[in-house]
Amino acid sequence: MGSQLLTPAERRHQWRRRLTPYMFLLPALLIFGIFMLYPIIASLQLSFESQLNPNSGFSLDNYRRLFGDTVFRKALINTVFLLVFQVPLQLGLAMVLAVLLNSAVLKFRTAFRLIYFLPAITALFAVALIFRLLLNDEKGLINYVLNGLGVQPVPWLTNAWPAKFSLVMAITWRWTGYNMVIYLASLQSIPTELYEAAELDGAGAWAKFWAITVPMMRPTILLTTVLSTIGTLQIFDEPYLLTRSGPSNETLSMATLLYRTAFQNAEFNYASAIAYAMVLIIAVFSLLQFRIAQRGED
Amino acid sequence: MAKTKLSDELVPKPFVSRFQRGAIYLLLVVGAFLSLFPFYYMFVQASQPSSEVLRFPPHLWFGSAAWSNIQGLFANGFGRSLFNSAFIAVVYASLSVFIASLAGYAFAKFRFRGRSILFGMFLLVLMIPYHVTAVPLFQLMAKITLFGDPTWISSYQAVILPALANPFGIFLMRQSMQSLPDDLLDAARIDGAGEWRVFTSVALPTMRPTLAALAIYSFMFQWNSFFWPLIIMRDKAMETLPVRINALVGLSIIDYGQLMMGTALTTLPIMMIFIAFQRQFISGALAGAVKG
Amino acid sequence: MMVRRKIHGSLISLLVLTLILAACGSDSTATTTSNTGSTNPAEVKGEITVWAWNVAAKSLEATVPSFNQKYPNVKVTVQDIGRTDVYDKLTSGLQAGGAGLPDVVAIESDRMDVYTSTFPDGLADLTSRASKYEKDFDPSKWAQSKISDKIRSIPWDSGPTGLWYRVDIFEQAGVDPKSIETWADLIAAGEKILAATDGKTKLLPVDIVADDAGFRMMTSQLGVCCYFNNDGKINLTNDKSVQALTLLKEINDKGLVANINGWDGTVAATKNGDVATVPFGVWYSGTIIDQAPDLSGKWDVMLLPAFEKGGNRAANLGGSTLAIPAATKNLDAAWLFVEHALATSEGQNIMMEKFGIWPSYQPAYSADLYSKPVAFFNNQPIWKLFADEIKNIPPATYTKDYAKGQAVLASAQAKVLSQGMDPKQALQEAAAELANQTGREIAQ
Repeated sequence: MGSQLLTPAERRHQWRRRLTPYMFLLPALLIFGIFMLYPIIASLQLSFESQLNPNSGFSLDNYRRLFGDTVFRKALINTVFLLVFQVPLQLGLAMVLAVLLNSAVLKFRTAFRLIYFLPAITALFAVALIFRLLLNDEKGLINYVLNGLGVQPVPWLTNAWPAKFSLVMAITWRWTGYNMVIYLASLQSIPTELYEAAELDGAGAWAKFWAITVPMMRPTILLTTVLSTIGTLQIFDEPYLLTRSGPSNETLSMATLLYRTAFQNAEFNYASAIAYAMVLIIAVFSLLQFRIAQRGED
Repeated sequence: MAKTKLSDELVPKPFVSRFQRGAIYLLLVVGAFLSLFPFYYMFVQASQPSSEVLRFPPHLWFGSAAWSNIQGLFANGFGRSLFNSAFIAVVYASLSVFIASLAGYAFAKFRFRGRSILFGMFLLVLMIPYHVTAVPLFQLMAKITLFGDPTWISSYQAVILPALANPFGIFLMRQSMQSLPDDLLDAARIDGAGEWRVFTSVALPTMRPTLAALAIYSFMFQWNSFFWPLIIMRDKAMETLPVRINALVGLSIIDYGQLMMGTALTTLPIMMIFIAFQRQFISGALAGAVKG
Repeated sequence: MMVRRKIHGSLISLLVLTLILAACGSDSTATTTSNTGSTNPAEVKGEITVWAWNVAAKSLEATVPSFNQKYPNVKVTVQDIGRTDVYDKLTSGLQAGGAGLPDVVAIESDRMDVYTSTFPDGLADLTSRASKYEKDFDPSKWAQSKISDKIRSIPWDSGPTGLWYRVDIFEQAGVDPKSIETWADLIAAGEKILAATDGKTKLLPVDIVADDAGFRMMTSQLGVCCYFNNDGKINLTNDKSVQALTLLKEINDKGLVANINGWDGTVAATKNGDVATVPFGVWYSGTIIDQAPDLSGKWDVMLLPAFEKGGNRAANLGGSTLAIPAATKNLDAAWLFVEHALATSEGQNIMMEKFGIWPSYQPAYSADLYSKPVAFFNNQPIWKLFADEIKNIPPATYTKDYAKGQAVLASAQAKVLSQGMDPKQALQEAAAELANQTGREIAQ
């Protein structure tokens, strides 16, 4: 574009055109800059001020401490464990439900969709107390029912593995329906001609699922995987409210440790270091997933 | 390759054996029961007097204390918090939809320097744990004296503003706006419409379903939000519902009946909104997200 | 002190923030100060806000009318806040140099050190005003209020412990409560009860994986509570701590422990007859009355059994304090309110009478109500027991790492009670773990 050929009026016009997108972005940028970027920079700076030696200037103390902190290591392992089991379980289940609901024969599809989605719209604080009552060892409804069926009561919240399992159940309860609805919408946007063509070639249900459904839904699957990964790596509500990070920190997550360090132990500088370690971990995982997804496309 | 069309439930095909159909229904009904039961149990417990909630064996049917629990809640500032929550959520939803649609439009329909960096920056926020920004944000609010307030602590704007540039909303609007034909916008420009007019009278009207969906999501997010309102609202008259309800948890005495009723009453409006607008909730919101 | 951290000037100026900061002055609120040393109570003016938990807030509110009789021109607003929510708000406020804090705030005694160590000047120094009351307060609590010789909080309520027990279940099993003097006696009684109820009623509840309350009561009784000694060293491997954990193991090994989860679990066990006794602080009386109204007359209380005949039976569990954030603009009014509520018999006994909040202020115990029988508790004068117990409670040491200690000890307790680990070994491991987490030394 040789701008030297333009008249002043045209130049002004072009300048305005260039400015237009920034004007549309201005409100979001203002809010973002003041209320997000500033707190992020401020807390990042805090993370480089030593917790144990305040006023000692720039220091990597907190990050150094993080490396030797066995509690943080435990929180990291717990969270990654959740990630490895939770995300495939929740997304797999969501996919199965979506495929089942998508088969045209079913009546009440709208009702099912609505019911499955319901847990995702409620705040967990509302149901955490209910879950704790249901899962109580001696006095809980679930063990009461199990007992009636002649099954040994399960220490849902007081034993390491059952507690991890309870956590997975609660997260699955809340988010499966949400992902199912996304998959359902995506399934419905796949042109039926593709399936018809495959049928003419004699493809069975399973073959069609892998040859058509999965590739067509790749962007959606990637999106939900990344979102669920970020959500799981930041998981706070369930371990904080339901298992209270216990027993013996077995369900402590990185975010609950961050909260505990910042607000209950009042070690805000150290907590900031935990937060940015989390950000780094989340970024690595997200990037990894994009890379894997891209390689799958080649 | 199996050729049985009968087992073909993976595509919209009306041929599934009666046995399979039964099995699918059974599975779905069990799933539905698991989804719904905690809600049912919550309402059952909300109708019990405090000393009956931990009774064993547990109550499975409604009790008689629903009304007295409601009265207890309203005597303790529930009404005011209800108003605060509704006001904040409605204002937040309207503003955030507006801001997200402006930003989404810019990202979808213009090529400009820094576009992908700015967009990435918005998405980056998704990765920041919200607990860590709470204290700097609180410090900021304590210093702002705009609009005649001595500080912004315990103010509506302090709850509404920080999350207004909602990354999810911007992402959603960008995805949606991308499906808008450029010809349509150019036609309006050729007719002499300014950029603002093109946006308000051409782009926005076609986005109505997505706007509605985003508005409902934003409302829901703000309605359920707990931690930031807890930190910033330090005056009982300004508290939102989740914060007020949590105040029922004392050191050694907890009014379980009121606690349950409070959570039930907080959940109920969201459930009703969801049922009323479920089409917008589901199809609208995901039309954008699905195209990834 | 108000601006703890330099604002990140250069970075902000990149943003539009400068515009806004320019509009911000320092706090410009008109302060309604009162005259220091004013002798006329009517001259004390101002508005103060008080934060406390649910029932505790109601009890403080109940003292306001009598406070306003003395100081008619101070307006008091009491705000009820959720249990841990208080700390979220307090921490963020102190971190922001005192912004958005009330004039008076309730803090559990065992959490005080977190605030006084991280924010040494965040809470007002009350030494000059409060030291005259030293002899009046529960000595073990007063010691906790003093941080390097400065008084940063006033003890509110104490948690003298008792063994709450079911009169009817004891009778049914043929156990005479008066015969129980030592933990060994209690274990024998527990076995009788277990047999008499076909195993339905255990002796006592323990939240094995999450709460070491039993261990803390026992170590308090033995004078080695809680996890640290006066030099701030980790104090877990001493004989007495081992003795306490060994006792818990013995009770558990005999099948006398009801393993419950969480506060709700304890309450459920209490009201549903799963346990014959609950060793807890005096504050549990309120919970029993509130949650088990149908068991009126069937509960009573005795002191915790001793480790050996004639040994100490006094201990403490829980209790809280009131503190005044240094950022208050009404230090005088706030102090007068705290003084009236906590350092007068009138104030303390309003809270005791209506809400069962046990005064740390000992002169309050001379009121009639402490010798009166309580209908709900087997018509016994149970308050007298606690009033007499207070002065015998051994002092305890908390530190800012108390919460970490609690978590580590709960794990140790779980290893011993659920997996049968040797108590001494478990405590050695716990000490090592705590040393790793806090950087503290282990006391020899």
